Amino acid sequence: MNAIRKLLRATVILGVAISGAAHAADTSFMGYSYAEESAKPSVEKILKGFTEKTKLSVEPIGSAWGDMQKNLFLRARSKTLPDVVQISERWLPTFSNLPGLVDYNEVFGKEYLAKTYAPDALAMGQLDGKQLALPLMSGSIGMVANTGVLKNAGIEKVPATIEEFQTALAAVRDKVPNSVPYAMATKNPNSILLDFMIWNWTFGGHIIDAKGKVVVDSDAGRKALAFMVGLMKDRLSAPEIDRPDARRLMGQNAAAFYIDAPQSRAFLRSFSGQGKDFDKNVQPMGVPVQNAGDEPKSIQWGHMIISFAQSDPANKDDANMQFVAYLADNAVQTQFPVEQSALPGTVDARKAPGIADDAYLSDWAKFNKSPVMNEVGIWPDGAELTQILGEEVQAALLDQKSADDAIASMGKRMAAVMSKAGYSQ
Amino acid sequence: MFDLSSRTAKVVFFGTMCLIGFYMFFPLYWMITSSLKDNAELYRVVPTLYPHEITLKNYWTAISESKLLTYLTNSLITSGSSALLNTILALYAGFSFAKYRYFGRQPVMLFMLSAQMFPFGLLLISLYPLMTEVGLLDTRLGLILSYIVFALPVATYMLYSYFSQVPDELIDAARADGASDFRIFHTIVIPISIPPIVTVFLYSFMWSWNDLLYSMTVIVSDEKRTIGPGLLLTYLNELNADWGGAMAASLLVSAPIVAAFMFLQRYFIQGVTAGAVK
Amino acid sequence: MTNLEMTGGFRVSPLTRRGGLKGVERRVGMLMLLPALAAFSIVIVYPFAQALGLSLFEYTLQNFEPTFIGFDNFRTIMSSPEVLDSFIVTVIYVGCATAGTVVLGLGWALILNQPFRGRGAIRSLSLLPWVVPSTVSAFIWGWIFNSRYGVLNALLLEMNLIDVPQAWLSTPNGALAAVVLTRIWRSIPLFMAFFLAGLQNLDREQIDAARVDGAGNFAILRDHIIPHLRPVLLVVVVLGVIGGLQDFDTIFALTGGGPVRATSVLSIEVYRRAFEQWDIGMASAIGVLWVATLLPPAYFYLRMLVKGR
Repeated sequence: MNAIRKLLRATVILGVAISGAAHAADTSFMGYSYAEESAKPSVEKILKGFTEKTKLSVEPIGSAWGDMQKNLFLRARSKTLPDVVQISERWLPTFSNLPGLVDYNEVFGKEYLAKTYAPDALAMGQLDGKQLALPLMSGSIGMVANTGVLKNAGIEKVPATIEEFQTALAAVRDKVPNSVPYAMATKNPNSILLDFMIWNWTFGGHIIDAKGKVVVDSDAGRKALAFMVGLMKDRLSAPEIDRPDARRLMGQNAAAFYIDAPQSRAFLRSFSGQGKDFDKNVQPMGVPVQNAGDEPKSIQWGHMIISFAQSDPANKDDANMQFVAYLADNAVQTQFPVEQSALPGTVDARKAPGIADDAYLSDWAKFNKSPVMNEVGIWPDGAELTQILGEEVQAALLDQKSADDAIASMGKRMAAVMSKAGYSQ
Repeated sequence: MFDLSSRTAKVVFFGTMCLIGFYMFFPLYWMITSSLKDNAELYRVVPTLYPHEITLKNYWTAISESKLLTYLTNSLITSGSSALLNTILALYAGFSFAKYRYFGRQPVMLFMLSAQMFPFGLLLISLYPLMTEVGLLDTRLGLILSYIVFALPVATYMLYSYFSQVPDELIDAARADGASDFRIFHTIVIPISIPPIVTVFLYSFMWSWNDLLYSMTVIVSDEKRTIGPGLLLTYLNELNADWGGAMAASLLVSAPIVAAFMFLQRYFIQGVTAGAVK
Repeated sequence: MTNLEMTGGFRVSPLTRRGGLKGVERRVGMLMLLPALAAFSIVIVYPFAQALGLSLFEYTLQNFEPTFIGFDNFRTIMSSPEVLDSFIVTVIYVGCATAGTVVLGLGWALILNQPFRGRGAIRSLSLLPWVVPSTVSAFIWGWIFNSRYGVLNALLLEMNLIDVPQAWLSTPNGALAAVVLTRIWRSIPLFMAFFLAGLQNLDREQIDAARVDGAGNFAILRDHIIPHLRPVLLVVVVLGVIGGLQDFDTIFALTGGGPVRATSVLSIEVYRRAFEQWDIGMASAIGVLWVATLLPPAYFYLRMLVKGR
């Protein structure tokens, strides 16, 4: 194959001449916010601030959220990993064995980190006693209500129990024409996972336990899925809805509830076309519970920062570590998370004016007090597990299988994947 | 061809024409219409058949706020270069297959054609590390080279098929005058083969132009992205479902190539007729 | 060029057989083939050979170095109905799309072969569906099939064919029909162009003679036009099958392989395994199985095509 490689190299020289040699920066930062039109200016502001403060340059690499995992792994294979990467909290375990991943405890020291970051946010980056990720912003995935729609349907009180929830949904269906009362995710496996996980917890079930055993095939699992199927049958939810569709419906006052991250407010501002005027309709709430007084369920959510060592061992003075440290600076933390309608990851920033007194954010925190770690996305084969779960839930929702069959088949298929990955079932 | 004097024949003929015509053109009409509606009119359960209030907002947003033009340029560069590369390679190979006889010629050609059915995704799995190794990842050149996968075999076959029909006497006569084979090919054969060359170029171009799989994987940086993934990521993604914008952007990115095609289609049809495919 | 009848056949210029220059010519011929062959080897043969090897390995996210596991991947495939379903879905998809395109493409070509006013313009416009990027066609059709705002539902409701809006892309048959319809829509123009080209050198006198003998339109179509188009038909079917098998973009953009697995054709399955789930070994195995199923019939078909029957 040497001849082929030589030939290719020759071609590349030509290619470099055409495309211009890559310019070297002190460090590189790969993230999905940079790929999002709305967040990109905010990221650019961070990079500019960092360069002004340290005279170090950062090369930004944008990658769409849906492509992040793929791109990072491809880069790992090809040994072209970026120095700093923005990730979703649930990806951390999948990335945890990438070569060169920095344990921040060893660079900054446990004490400093504990002092700087809010404990709940910091916890999302911990794995096997190591601090592999630091929070850029944090929050949880919970439920949002559109109080404007509820009012139109004659509902004054945001429901707290499943019973109240169902009453409210029926009222919306009957009184708001062409509405999808609860814009449940029914299309994309990645989104279906979140809705199902929350309801499964609400009914007392789990999908995969801490040891990697698949436990979804249970009474609670069947009840949760049957509940979701019931919503579809009663036309309280609709097929073909993904998160963006749900946001569109909410923004058009055609849906009363959906599940999302706190960024919801920012999305609804843009989807409604009314900007901040729409905020009055957007109300965070606890996911309805079986019995009044139960703790509403929510899923951990955050944007985390992982790094790959630039020197061996990684050192505070490395360009990428300086950048990571800068991301905890108030200049970043009081700006970026707020622009995305999420909570900052640091203690200082959370106390800052404009954040501490933001009713929406504090409501969000109040209703989602104890978010739990994603049970599926965290496993090495998370993508395949998510796909299976999504397929089976969807099959039940679309009435291709009974809820019981779907749960049984989901349990079997997921167990096969987990046992292949070495977790005894 | 058909005798349309009878009433039944007329009904069947025009009936079929309307049906197929509707199938082919209504979607295009719907794209244009939808792109001109504002959101209030667009997101309605009972849509209006034509925009009651025409707005160019979607177009304006697509041009000013997205990277549409960058994607478009990238697509034109990568698809154009790869089609050019493909056509050149296929020209020589097709001529060689058609006019020379040597050992292994037919099996090689058959193998090339069969290889067109190898799953592109499968090839990508191994192409990816190869590209990484030589530094072609996330470059337009990498994309251009990998696009050879899509159409080289069929392009070669099309030109082979055409060259088979070029009379040998033409080549013979030139050879008798002492011209070299390359010279004959360049100065005599190629000039009379413009329509099939255009056909093959366009065929190759369309494959790359439509590509989503390779571009989504090989290209990481936004500024090198082509329109396929560019449109998908901008308009229908995890965060967004902007149908009006998608329709306007669709129209915009299609426009230049449609214009070029209107100009080239005469050659295209001629090329097909001349036996680029028989 | 039209007088050069499309006689087909794997003809070789007789002059190549003439003595002295033969050796030199042969070298020239091989030289001309060389660049294409080199490119072909690098981007197709080499990756394919590598994938062939990888299909025998366990190569996933966790293990950066592939481990040899023999035919385990193939055994897993054979015991998972989900993957086998993909083969069936692919056959249905490619079959329906190719057949549909042949029928409609031929129909449209026959219509546009008939002289009428504005024919030239319609011919040009007819190429449009082929020219718009595939993502765009997926957008257009996705929008038409949209369960909430789609025009298809509105039309059917208006005509009282359905009572409530249908979520077409959320039913297995609806989604499959949608991707097939989109595929057909995109490929009609190309097929039409080929058929039109074939119709150019149809023997008019023969048809006129048949007409004098009392043959009707249908008889002429069946006995004269279709037999005449047979060579074109053969090529078009190959192109259609290749296009259908390799189609990834429309399906990915329109349904992403869903709902459940209703439109998970092999190209989607390979992509998902390789680039979403990072099971490179499995992805290669599925791809290899695909080639193994397809190659023998493809080879014979192509040989028939090349040899001119």
